[in-house]
Amino acid sequence: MIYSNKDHFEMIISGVGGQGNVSSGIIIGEAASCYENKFVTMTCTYGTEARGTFAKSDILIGKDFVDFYECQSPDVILVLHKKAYPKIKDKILEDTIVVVNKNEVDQVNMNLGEIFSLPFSEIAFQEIGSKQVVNMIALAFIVEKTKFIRNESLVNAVQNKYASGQIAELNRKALEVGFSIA
Amino acid sequence: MICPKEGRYFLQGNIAVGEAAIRSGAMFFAGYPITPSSEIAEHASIHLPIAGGTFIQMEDEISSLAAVIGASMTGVKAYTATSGPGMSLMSEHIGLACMVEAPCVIINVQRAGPSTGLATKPAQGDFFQFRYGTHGDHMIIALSPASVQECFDLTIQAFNFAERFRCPVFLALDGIIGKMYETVNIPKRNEIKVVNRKKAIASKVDYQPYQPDEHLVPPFVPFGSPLITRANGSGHGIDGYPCDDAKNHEQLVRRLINKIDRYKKEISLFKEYYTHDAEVLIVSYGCSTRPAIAAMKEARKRGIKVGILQLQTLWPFPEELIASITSKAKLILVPELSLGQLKSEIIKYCHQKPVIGINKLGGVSIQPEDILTVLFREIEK
Repeated sequence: MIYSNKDHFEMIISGVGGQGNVSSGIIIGEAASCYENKFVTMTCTYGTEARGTFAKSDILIGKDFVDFYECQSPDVILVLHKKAYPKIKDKILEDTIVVVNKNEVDQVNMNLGEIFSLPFSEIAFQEIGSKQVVNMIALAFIVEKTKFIRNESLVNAVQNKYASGQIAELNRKALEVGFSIA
Repeated sequence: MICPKEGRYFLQGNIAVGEAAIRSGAMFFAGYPITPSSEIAEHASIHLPIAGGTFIQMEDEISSLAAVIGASMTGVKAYTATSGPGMSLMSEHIGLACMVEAPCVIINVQRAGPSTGLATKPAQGDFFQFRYGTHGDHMIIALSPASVQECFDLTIQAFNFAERFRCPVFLALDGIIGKMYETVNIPKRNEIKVVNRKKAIASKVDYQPYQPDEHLVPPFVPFGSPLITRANGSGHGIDGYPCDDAKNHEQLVRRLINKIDRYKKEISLFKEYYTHDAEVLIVSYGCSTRPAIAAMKEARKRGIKVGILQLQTLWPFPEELIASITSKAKLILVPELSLGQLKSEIIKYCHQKPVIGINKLGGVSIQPEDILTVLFREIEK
């Protein structure tokens, strides 16, 4: 389950609008592009509503270039909301790692992929005091588990995005929590 | 700027266009935001004023292009961004920009039409609108990127062509490439080749604003300078005053076409993938290039010699290139998010070889499997 040497890596981040599905993808993209010299392509799907409807990012990481911009055999799928699961279910392969936020997704087919179901919302609330960092905890969990990018690349990208202040501190802590529960 | 210095970034296609525009020296944007192009206007609204330029949100797309032409005639590099519905409104002024020879860049991030069609959903259905969107005989340049890196590079190129040929240049993005994020290498400022329009050197006595140089392009004088210049959408003589003389009109329109046509080879930008031994040639542009590359690699794994010609310049159409590159192929496939606009142009120049379109509507991407299915079906025939 270690992906650090893989030449081509695919990840889907799914949920509903407002959960940071796109911004999480941008952070992964910046981490891999700017701190590891990898090539990243990301396409996003979302509704016209700002919040509440299905949203996902397809993130593809290659060495020099990524040919096609949609995930065809995802290595990892993150599911942050129950509305997203039915929409991404058909993409799950036998060895796809499916990371699920237990607090938001109640029904999951345990025979589809390799499931990691964790109460990310609860953890976020208890450890950080804010549910807004759920995506950051989940990202750090995935990075620590799979090593598809280095932990410090993710930390650097987040630090670069939120240079200082309370939000930066919250996100930094969220990453630490995510790494520790993996 | 979002990318303050050279280096590696992870950018959206639309943002890469904006970053390149500022590096090209663009100082004016007028537009009316429309998805999937809105980030270009948003970027300009934030970053142009910081760079010393001007951003105006206009009441519609008709006035947007009018403002861009006006700004251009004062000597400023100007651009606008829109999508199909806005392009339709701009049609009249595309002709005006051609006629008054106002260098400008018009970015159309194509979405599914006709009319308002599918908001934010990608398409490649404006292929002929770029070429024939305005009335009357004219020639146009249209460039189309297939990656975010190409969004950056071809924006620089679009401004350079606009300045060199004193004409409007289209940047033909689509909703997929415009909204896509990708790794981009931003070069150093001094490594970016920036072309500026040729300025007229003349005395007040003998200056004629539309006297062409040896390349058929009139050297430029900005509005407000001591040399008086004019801009006229009606037929005009070299002095810029209206003139409906038959011979003059013939000369003027032929020159507007020939100033671009003469340099067609230099304008024609393209990429080739494995065309040297290709028995099946895929001709593509924009987003459709990406599933084509994936399909080509899969087909080659199975021993089928597939190659790709990716057109970065759509117009002027590279007839000679199509004629020579298709001469060795047995089958030509044309994937596009339209019902076969590029295909119909290729058919004209490909020696009556079989040309099969892979066409999709509905604002969804062509999949590599869509291309492979057609490929396997055709070679089994």
